[in-house]
Amino acid sequence: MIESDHDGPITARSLMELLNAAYALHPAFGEAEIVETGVGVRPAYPDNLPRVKCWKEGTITINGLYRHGFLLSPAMAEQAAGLSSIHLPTTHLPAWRLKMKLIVNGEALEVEATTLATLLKELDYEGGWFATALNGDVVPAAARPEFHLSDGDRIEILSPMQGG
Amino acid sequence: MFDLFGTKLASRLLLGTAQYPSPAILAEAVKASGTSVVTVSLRREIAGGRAGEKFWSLIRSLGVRVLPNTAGCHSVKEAVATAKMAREVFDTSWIKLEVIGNHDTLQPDVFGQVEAARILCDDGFDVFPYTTDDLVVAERLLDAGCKVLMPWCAPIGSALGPVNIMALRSLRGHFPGVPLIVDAGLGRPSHAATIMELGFDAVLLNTAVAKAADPVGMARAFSKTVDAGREAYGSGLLEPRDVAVPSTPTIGRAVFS
Repeated sequence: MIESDHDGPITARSLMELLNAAYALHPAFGEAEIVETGVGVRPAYPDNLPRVKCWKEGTITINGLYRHGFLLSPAMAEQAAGLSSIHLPTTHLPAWRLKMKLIVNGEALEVEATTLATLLKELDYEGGWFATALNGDVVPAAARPEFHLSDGDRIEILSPMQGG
Repeated sequence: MFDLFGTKLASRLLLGTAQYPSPAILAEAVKASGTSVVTVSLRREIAGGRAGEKFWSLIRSLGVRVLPNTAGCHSVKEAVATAKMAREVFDTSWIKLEVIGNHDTLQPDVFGQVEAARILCDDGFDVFPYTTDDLVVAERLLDAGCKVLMPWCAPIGSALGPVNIMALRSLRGHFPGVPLIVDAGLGRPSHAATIMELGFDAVLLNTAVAKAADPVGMARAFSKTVDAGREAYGSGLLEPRDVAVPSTPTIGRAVFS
């Protein structure tokens, strides 16, 4: 985060500092891939705090959410609703789904598979050179067909790699 | 020949497979080192990728035994799970046990090491525990069922060589019948010679070879000093002393004055 209103392409120094910080946090970031870089200017008041203002009848502005727009949106919406006569809906959308949500090797996925064996097939893992674990417990190859998956399960699929 | 868990090994050099400039150089270095055992690890496989399979087939083509590690594990649970997964993939009961205790020094969590070693030994694993040069920890690891010890001589990848000769000498003296392998901290072939001269059974190294300008040449160099150090140990080294001792006999010296 740099205090500036420059919104041109990312500078070498900005990118370097960001990546250095990530690498210092954990060396595994050294293997991360840079998919995209972007530069944008955050709207901010001098104190970096947001404001909800009622200017005149029928006009409410919300501004200055700075870098916390997503985080503060619900609170700002409530404040704005408090200034108006809007009643926010309290019911949620029905929680129906077709697919199971899993974390596979740290990545969130939605799959149709219901067992570990069918999951591996669905994800195109073939062969005998990898090992699996479900929620931290090792699942041997022979047990995979009977291992039923549940929403939110964490699956690790590991294979041979260089080591010291 | 050198015996580890009933397996006779021709070489007393164990080599890591990480950080080489290319798979081809890795393969050449393994051959040049003459090693019988290489270390490998387990990492997340990307769906549809075949990186793990390619690496595994390269290693299998080298005709060496593999010693899977639990590198990067910071808890007993992680290390035990990784060991079980490695046993399945690599089809071996050998495991190089690492429970890391400190991010900066990569020092083993010796309490975690002992706990994990007990679980794995009870489960039938042949455990090669990475440890410090602490004598009491070594005793605890043996109590937990370990038959081999792998003390560091300096932090992993530091290339410092043996920083505490006294501790290494003490380990050798206390455990004459236990295979002792110095794992981690070697930088130069002379370090390997020094350790082998102390009577250690083998050395395990990786970075010193993989990160050399010519890994194949460095692998060959280490192989020679490991052999030299071992043979020197077996041949009885001369103890150093503080005064000169003439090597040419004094008896029969001519008198010219």
